[in-house]
Amino acid sequence: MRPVFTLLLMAFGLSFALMSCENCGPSREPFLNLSLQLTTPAKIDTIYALDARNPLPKQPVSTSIVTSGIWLELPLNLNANQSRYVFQLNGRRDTVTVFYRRSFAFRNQRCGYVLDLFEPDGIPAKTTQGTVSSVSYWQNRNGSFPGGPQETHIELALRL
Amino acid sequence: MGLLLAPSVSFGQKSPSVLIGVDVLKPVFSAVGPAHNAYRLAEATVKIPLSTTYLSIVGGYAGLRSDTIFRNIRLHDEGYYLKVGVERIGDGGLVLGWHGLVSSYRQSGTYFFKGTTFGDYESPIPDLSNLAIGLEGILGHQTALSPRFLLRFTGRVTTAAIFGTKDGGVPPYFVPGIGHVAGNSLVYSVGVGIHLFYQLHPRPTATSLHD
Repeated sequence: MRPVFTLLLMAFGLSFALMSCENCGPSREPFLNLSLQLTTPAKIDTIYALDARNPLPKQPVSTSIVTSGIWLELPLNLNANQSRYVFQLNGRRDTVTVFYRRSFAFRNQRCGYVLDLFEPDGIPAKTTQGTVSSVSYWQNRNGSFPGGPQETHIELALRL
Repeated sequence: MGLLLAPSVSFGQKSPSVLIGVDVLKPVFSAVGPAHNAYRLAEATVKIPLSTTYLSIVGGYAGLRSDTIFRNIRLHDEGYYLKVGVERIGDGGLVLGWHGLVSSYRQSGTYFFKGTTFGDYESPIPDLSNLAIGLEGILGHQTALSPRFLLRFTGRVTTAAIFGTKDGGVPPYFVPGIGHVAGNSLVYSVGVGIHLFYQLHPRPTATSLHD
């Protein structure tokens, strides 16, 4: 009787652990992790999003001159297949556009509709001044998956 | 004889009367229901005496506009239903019975994501037109309020098969005539009702006619 009880307890614990690891993804705007690789020291003067209704969240960027790189976490526009941002470095204005394919699919009653972003058929990103170094798209992944949970997001690296 | 001809409020009488009733709980629930869900419910019923039982016919409308459910979905379900079955009313007012159920309803809704910078994203989920066919068992108790009026408290257990499109992927949430449901293609639910009945004039018994 005791081993049966232990097995039942373990099965319950395992199912609870797997259930609690389910990642439903973002319920609001996911983020673009933007990396600006600088060839010369620079300072961000301005940054804002085109098509935005509200200002961007406050960015943890230095107000002084940066020599190597700048990392920004910017919300992505769910109402379009692209997001556009304008920033000014050392008085030089640049517009960055990142493209994606949105997918909204019903998963279950706990998660409802789950959002994922995928690489588009065309170019993934463009910039008016610099060059695109890399773009990668990351989809939802549950915590039970090897490597742990993962939220939908895009990583974009620009060389300026 | 006078007693025999008078409208009777006893149950299980030899010449039972037709009962016409409405669910009084549903309008109350529609008016003061939970803040997160907006219900519109109405139900009427008639009980026709047979030899030892009642033929029960129930018809109603039910609508629900949900607030956010399943994390990011708002649903709107509405439709009509018809229940036909048999009830037995015991001497003490105990009611036992069953109904076959047909419910035709439509489910629509939206899912949304909060957009603090670019604005909220909201999109319709595919509309569903569904038919539910099921069976319910009822257990209740009725009490005479006056010679004409009865009040009945009922509990029910219902199961039904859902027929129709399932493209949206959203499982049934609310089915008119059943209420909030669990399950997917086969749903089940429990519910309660409070019905106020008007008792039509009882027919004179055979004894009284001969007297």
